Amino acid sequence: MSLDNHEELQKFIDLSEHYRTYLDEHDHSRPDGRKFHQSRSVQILDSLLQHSYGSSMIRFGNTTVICSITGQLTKPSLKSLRSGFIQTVVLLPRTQAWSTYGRRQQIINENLTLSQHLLDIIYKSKLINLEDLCIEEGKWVWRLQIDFQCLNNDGNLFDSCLFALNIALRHTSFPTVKIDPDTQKPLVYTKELIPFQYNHEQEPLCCTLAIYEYEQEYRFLIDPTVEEENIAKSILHYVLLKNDQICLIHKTSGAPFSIEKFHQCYSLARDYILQLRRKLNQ
Amino acid sequence: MTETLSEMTENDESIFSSLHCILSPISKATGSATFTLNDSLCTCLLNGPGELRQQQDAINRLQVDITFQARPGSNNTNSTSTKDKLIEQWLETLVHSTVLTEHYPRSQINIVIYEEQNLSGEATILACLCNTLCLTMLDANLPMKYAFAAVPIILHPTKGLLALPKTKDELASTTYFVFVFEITLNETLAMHASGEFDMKTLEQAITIAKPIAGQIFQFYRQELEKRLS
Repeated sequence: MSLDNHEELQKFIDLSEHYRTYLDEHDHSRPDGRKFHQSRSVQILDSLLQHSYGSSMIRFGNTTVICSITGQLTKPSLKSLRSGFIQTVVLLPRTQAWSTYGRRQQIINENLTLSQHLLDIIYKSKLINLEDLCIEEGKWVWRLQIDFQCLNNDGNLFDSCLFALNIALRHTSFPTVKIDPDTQKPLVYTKELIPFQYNHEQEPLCCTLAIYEYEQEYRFLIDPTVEEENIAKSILHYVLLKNDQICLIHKTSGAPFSIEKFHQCYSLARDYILQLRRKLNQ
Repeated sequence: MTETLSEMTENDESIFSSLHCILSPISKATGSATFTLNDSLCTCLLNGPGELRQQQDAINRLQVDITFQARPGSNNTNSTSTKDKLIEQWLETLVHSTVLTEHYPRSQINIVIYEEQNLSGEATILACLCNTLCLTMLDANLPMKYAFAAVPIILHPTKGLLALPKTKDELASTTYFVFVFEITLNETLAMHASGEFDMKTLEQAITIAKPIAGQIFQFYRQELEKRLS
């Protein structure tokens, strides 16, 4: 990165101080021009990959995520003969590792935590029922592979991945599979596509808030960029379902919170997610 | 160690029967602790501030390296290695925010925390891990801003909100909360909640959890007094 001007140098030495001076000078607006509670513009593109059963590409400002849903036929486990499998994998290409070696390991860890969060949300919100993935009990089930390729990480991967998942699921269609009665082998009719059965009622969407201490007060930055995530004292994820019930709250340690702050964040999250839902249903 | 699953009454003594602890079970480590919460048992060991092995970016503060090992072969359908990473990252933020990391520049601490037994669900094990971690850091005499304690709470479909749930109740419910409180009990340091609930339930859960956290802090004090006497 170029260190020729004063601003870049200041950013490199102490990102938090740079951010604070920026907020002071520019009347409480963040470096990308937003206010604390403003989110970035969202761009949606669906069904772009021809070889996946469902796909979508989401851009939250600069953060770009491609979600692709594919399936494989497999035998179910002996523990539950009617359930399929779901695996979520979040991949961040090595080009995003712009810093030292230690940072790369941290990026890999972040991907794994994100993959696990997404899988938890799918199970807890009952978005996809494992029994729907069954083709023939005890013999053949679908193994759903949900991949998220992050082309550019500018913060807030959680929201974008979950949003991409919702869009991709709407446009997913699986080929019909019939079991040949003579050979007991599955026959896949790739031309006969049926739209994927999932729980349309639950649309889990996430709001990520970065908690930053400014002027002796905790400010909640909605939709943080990667710089804001680095300087934040803690990060709060709220995942809400369609009926405004909360599916997941995950708060990392750093900024102690009282109950009122949780309520404040909940109302911020609710408004933000309402906006997202409108985008989703367009 | 005998476990007695006594009934949860208003009596202060009752929760101490579901908590057990051994300090410094591993003598070679700088600090270690084994902690039991109902049916979950965890051990944690800490190797105190030492030299930074790699060229990492912790130039002006302590570098924390946490490894969490789940019990291999446990029958949870949802446990994968990625879940371990999630727990590690969460615990790392806890350590960073409570330990005075500015006091040890260019140093590294290694924490290995492993789950020895977990018969109940995710809430108890998460809370057990947090408490074990706190006891280990207290045992290792790391300078901390405050001690912390985690309380698991579940939302049972018929019995409502239960704190420090018993195994049978926990396995019957899908919604759980884990709150980490600091010692003045005014504020929540961290939390992890999963399932389906609303803000009112969350508020009730926090109010139930605070007195339990107070008792857990009393338990820490008792255990440390035993060691020092």
